[in-house]
Amino acid sequence: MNFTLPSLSLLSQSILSGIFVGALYGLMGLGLSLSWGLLRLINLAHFAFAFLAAYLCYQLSTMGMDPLLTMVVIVPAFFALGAGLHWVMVRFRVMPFNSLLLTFGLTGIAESVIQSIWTADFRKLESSYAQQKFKLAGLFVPVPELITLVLAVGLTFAVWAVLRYTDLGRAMRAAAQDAPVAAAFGVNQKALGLALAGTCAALASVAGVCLALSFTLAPSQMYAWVGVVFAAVMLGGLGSALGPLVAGTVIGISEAITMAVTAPSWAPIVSFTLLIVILVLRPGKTA
Amino acid sequence: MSFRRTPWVIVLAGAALAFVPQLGLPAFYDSLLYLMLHWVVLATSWNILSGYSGYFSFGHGAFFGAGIYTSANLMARHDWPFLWTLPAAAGVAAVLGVALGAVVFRVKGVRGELFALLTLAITFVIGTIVVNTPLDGGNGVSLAAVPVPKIGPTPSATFYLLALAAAVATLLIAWAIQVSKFGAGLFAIHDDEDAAEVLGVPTYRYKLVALAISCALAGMAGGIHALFLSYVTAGDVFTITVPLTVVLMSVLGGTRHWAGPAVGAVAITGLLYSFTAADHAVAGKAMIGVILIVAILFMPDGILERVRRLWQRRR
Amino acid sequence: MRADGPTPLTEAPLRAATTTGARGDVLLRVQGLSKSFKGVRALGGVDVEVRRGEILGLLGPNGSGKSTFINVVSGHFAPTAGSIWFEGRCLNGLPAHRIAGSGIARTYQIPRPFGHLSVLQNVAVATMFGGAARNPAAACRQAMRWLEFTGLEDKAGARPDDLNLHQRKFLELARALAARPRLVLLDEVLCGLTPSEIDDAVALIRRIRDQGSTIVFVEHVMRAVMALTDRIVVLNHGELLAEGAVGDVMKRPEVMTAYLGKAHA
Repeated sequence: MNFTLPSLSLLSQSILSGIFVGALYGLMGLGLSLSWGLLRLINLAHFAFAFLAAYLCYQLSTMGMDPLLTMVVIVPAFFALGAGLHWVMVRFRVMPFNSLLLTFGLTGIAESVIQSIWTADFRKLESSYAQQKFKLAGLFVPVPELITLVLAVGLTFAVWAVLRYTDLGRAMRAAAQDAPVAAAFGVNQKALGLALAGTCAALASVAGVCLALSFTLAPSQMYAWVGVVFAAVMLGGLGSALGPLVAGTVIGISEAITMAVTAPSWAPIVSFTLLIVILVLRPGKTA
Repeated sequence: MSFRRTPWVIVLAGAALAFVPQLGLPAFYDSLLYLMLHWVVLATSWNILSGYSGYFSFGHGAFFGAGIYTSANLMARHDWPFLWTLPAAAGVAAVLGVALGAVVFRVKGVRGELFALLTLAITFVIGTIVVNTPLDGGNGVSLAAVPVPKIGPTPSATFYLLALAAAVATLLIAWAIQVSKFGAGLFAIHDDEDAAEVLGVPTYRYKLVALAISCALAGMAGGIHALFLSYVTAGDVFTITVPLTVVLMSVLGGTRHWAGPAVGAVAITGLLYSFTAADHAVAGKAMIGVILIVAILFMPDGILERVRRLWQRRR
Repeated sequence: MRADGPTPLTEAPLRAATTTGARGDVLLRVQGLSKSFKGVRALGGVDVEVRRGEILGLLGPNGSGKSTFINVVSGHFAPTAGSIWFEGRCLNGLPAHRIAGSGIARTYQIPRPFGHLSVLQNVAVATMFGGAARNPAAACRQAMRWLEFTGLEDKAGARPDDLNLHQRKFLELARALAARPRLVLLDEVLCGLTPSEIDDAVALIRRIRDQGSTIVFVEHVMRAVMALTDRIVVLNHGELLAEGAVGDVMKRPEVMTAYLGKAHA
């Protein structure tokens, strides 16, 4: 392990890119956290959704559509997909642990589907945004990453506000805390559950679009995100809207610093170690 | 209860299968059978902790990988003879597992999904460490120069026989645990760990022992596999594939029985290879996912259990 | 607060059966036992003595700490303060499985059988880990005896899910007894049973005491408390409120106030 002390500008740039990637972690984690915290379902297929959305965005863009505009098509489609998956899980009364296994299986299928359609080759979305960047206070700010940050922050706060201030949000939180009692108060759990699952999938698809804008895609890449995003979700607290974003940013910055100081291949250790530490020290916070 | 017959059945079956290389089949079959037995060892060893006690680990890849890299490094860098690396591989994997378990099992809240995630995280942490240190160094470890001992008529037959021996040993251990007091304790932990503890089951100790045995067997399988592959890379080893596959095989076959994972292993390996042979490798992976889903939805207790119940109804 | 002198001789006729065990020997002594959960104090400085061979009733309104008492003594929870002495040995800090090995067993108010194991296997596990049998074969034989003792012998091969509540409670009892404990802690074992089932259970509990076990009996069903207990202890808000013979204690004004109405069978 070689330690090299980077220059201030390199460090600042690293931290900035850490913030950007952290925002994406947060965006990806948002749907997962809601699903786990409010629906008690661990949805590994979340990553499959994100990547499928990313590939779809790639596909539609190469066919001429503006990448951001693809969301108009993609987001509703994934809302439906997420709600459908949830319907199946409820129908078969899949327990929380089995939901992990089942979505594990789905992720494997998704990977195969992606690989068969788009092959295992790396795919990079060449969009008008990709080339744009501007300078802010001496640091480079790439536009795709900026879009990601804006979307992540915006959606996080939107979700937070809905959960906190609207009747719908309160109903969801009530159902999560004590379902039978909530039902006695007229909260329609089934519909809420489907709506929430659909929203989580929709959020995943937005994350996927951001992914397509900033990163090179490959089917095997799906698993690379699993650890990091789970770490963000757990650090931020299950069911929390703001948690994944905050935690994701923390992780992103830590990773960036690690990479700047040592070597990029050491980066995965940061998130996974954080995850392990959190699980061992404060498992109560997550359950 | 065909109590005492079972170990003899296992040993005799193993002895009979030892003659397969004499049949002079093409090397492809030796390799296929090697892989089936290899997965029998991995799935059965995983089941000893995860199936029996309910602590589903997603980290079997870490221990298997530890075994692979221990063996590979001992052979390539320190010129150890292949067979001597196997107990070392088992030992390293077991120590790793026990170190992990000693910490994690102390924490009351880490069960179920959290334990699964934690063990998954371990796999990637160890993988990253291996890639970045001289253990792998990013270039992998080549074992092309290491001689394969002459246990069978051909190298692939040798691996087959080694895997066969490992499989027989693993199945015997899994059976012995199932019918023992230790196994009863593990099954009790599976259903209600707190009640088991209050009834007198030393849960912490039992989980650690099960973990140690599980890891040692996985490590041994790794040691054998290292030479089989003859070129080892961290990227191929420390992935989600091993955990996913062993979970699937065990869930499919049945996690409460010593033979369940073996049934699943043979079935899945056979299926996968019929797909690869027909040139549909990618579809094979999708198939695995589909089977896992179907198994969870419709056969939550596994094939073996379903068959056993049908058998009982016939009587 | 300790009771002085021997138990009054005003036993009901039902209790004329011989009592075994050396009376007066202190089997379990709990001193200053406290347990708090994140600031909520469930038990606050409870002193209780349980004498060999007696049936001690543990009463109190809901939330008074009775179940917590059992959970702490059996090792399910660690005490926040205070000490537990059993047969002269201190149990503080021991893991629950060692406490079980020392000779204490408990039942759960809501039965917690091992769902994937048969009724026989459930009891066999208790036999093996309570130290009464060493291998599965011997354990199964002993387990069968306990099933006969509790009347569950025809259900030996059934799954706990197939049993009704009454049978599941008896399974809890069989499991608790299979380890041959010297002290049995029963947590509202009669809760949810019909009157005739209660009579069965009372008879069984008496048989348990007759073959040498000491019993601490948390209960709301007053009929059973009157019939079975030698002494009772009343808890309120985690503290010891009163102690003595049933008829006497239940008439005390502070006890009547603590209960918002008496529980009836």
